[in-house]
Amino acid sequence: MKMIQVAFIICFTDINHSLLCIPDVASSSLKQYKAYEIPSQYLSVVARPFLSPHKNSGELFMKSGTAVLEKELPKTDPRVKLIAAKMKKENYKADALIEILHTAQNAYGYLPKEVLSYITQSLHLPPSRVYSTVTFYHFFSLKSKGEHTCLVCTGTACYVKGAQAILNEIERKTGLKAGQVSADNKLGVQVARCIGACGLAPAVVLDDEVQAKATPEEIVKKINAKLETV
Amino acid sequence: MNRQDLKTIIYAEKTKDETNKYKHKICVCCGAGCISSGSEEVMKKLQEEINTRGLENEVEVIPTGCMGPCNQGPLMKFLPEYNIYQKVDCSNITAIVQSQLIDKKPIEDLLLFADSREKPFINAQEDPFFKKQLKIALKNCGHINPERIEDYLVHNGYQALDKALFEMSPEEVIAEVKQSRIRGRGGAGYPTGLKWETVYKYVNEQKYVICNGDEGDPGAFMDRSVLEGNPHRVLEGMAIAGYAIGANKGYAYIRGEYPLAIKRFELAIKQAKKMGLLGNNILGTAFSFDVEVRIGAGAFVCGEETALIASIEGKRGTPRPRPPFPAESGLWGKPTLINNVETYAAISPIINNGGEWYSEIGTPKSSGTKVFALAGKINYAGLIEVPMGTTLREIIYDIGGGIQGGEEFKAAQTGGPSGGCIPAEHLDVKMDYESLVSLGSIMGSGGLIVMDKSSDMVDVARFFMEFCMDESCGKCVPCRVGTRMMHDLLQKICDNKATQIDLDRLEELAVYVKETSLCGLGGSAPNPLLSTLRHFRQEYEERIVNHELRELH
Repeated sequence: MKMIQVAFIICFTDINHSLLCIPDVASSSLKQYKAYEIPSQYLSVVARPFLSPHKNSGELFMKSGTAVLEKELPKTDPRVKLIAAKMKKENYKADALIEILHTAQNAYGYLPKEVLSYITQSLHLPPSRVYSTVTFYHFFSLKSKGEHTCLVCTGTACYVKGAQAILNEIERKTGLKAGQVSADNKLGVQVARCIGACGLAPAVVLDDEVQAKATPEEIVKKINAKLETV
Repeated sequence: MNRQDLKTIIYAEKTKDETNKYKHKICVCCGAGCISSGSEEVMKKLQEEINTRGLENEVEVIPTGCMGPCNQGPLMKFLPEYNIYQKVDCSNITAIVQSQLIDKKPIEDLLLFADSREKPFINAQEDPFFKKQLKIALKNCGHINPERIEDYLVHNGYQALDKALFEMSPEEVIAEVKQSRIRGRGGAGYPTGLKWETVYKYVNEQKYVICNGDEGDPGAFMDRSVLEGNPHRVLEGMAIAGYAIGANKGYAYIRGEYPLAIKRFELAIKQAKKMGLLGNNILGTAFSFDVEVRIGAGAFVCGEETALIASIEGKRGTPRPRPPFPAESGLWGKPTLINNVETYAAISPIINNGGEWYSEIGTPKSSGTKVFALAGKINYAGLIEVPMGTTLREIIYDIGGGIQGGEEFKAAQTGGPSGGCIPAEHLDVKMDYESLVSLGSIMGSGGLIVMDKSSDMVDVARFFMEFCMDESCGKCVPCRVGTRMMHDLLQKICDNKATQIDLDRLEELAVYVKETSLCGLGGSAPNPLLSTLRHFRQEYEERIVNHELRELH
């Protein structure tokens, strides 16, 4: 693993000059990133795509001799191939970013950082742009959602028909609140704003399978069954 | 393919239909709702059953889109008798086939039935659920196989596009839409014809048509059902819009939560392209139009048009100030027409039957029909389409079959987190844009959630405020901070810890947020709060008084 990239890079540009500042890891200015849950030693901001729209600054960066490396993805991984094919199909257009992220999320179940770096580089986008897009949309997740997922719909119809009771029962039996994943990564509990199955309220989605008119007891039973089969 | 080829295909399909003359047609609902209830297995079993009985030349099994009463699914409809079976299970298929096809007698106990009624209707068309509806946008939903373009073609599909291209100029198409007086079905109710005309007038070599299928309101699933049940109708509407305004490229933005709708819409695009009904030189004319699907990624605010455009461009879906409106500067700075799924679905009947015909349906100010998604404590939860101006009472008691368990009606919530609650004393309100606004609610996209006395209205307001707080994009302060503060105050009231000062502050804040937010999300976020305050103030006050009394003792 060649995970060297550490620093946050600020590019000051006037008409003729680009300057790169690579702050000290120990300096206080990096601390603010903790809020986004990126371990400061792995602040994987990839420099090249960050600069690539401006060719000159890219050269300057290369001259400065700082390594531009992220954890390399195995190119033979079918998931990587899938993403590569999607990017090629979309002609590496920046506006297809969300589509490509969908493909990546479907392949991995979440968006690992090295995958994001790979997409960032391939599309020649600033990492900030990719990161800000990923964190904006609920669909994308930077963390694993667990091997089995239990998605409780909390849309209005489900709310009126008792979705909260289901969530409470799940929490009582598994100790997991919405948004949490069990320590062994076997089960993740999430909530959805509305899955559009309002006629079947309250609805719960267990591993992509919609459970219509769910009751708390039945859901907990089904979760246990899922956990035992593995 | 040119016009003549299309006519040949339609003719061939129609004669095939007539020569094959199946004695019976069995429609099995394969909308997302019924599939979740197990309709795919039911269909497989049904086909097996028919094959083993050697009836495959007499009976045609059709997988269709949504039939309506989703909570009674899986649904199975026998034509021409129009007997609908509810909650069909693999175990009772043999009995149903035997009785229906061999003994020619329906099994009454298994027919579609609302608990509030005495007995089921043998012919489901007699059921007020179907009788009181008028289906225009949903006309073919539940009758045709959404995955076969030929089914749509036989039912007058793409005839409106044909008519527009060969018999009408773009100006005439716009005039027809204007005459229909149809208003945007996404919620705001802006006159569609006017919007088309505005985009048409901007001169630019590149224009875009966008279909807004980012149906984020919790409790609404109209767009999903239209896209799943009849994707070609939406596609046709988009192509006509493209012809009218002079665009050659369209985008359909569909929620990521609707995988089936995405799949069927993409399939529809592929089929239409193969038939020459999309792509270059449609039906041999100079008009070219292509459609691409963009999948939403779970952000409610992307239903707002400028946010939706940003999202199609692959960016964070944050709204921007208007003007310039998308009609002038939209997708990539080009003139862009954005309409809702349901609006496009209504276009082809308007072109086929004329704008005047459409304008005579409904009320003078709100013409046509509206699709509603009924949900909550109601006997028939599902999808309905009624003329504008139908009263809430008719919708809930006649069509919806009344409140579950015979409970008393307390309120109906319309318009999702941007709308409000309608209390029992206004049950006779006519459902149109203006009447709902006068009650402090909005038409919205069409979600209608029925509540009985078990719903606590303060908690309902808190629920919606929590939704808006989570979904606020964070761009402007009134919405980002205001929704949070209002949510905390509502939580305080729910926890019985608030005082009169908190309530006063809440009301004051609501007005500020409403007036000063950038986009519709913040601007309408206080609506559920304000409408529950207006109609159910005593529920708020009880909690405050109780608290203050406790403090005194």
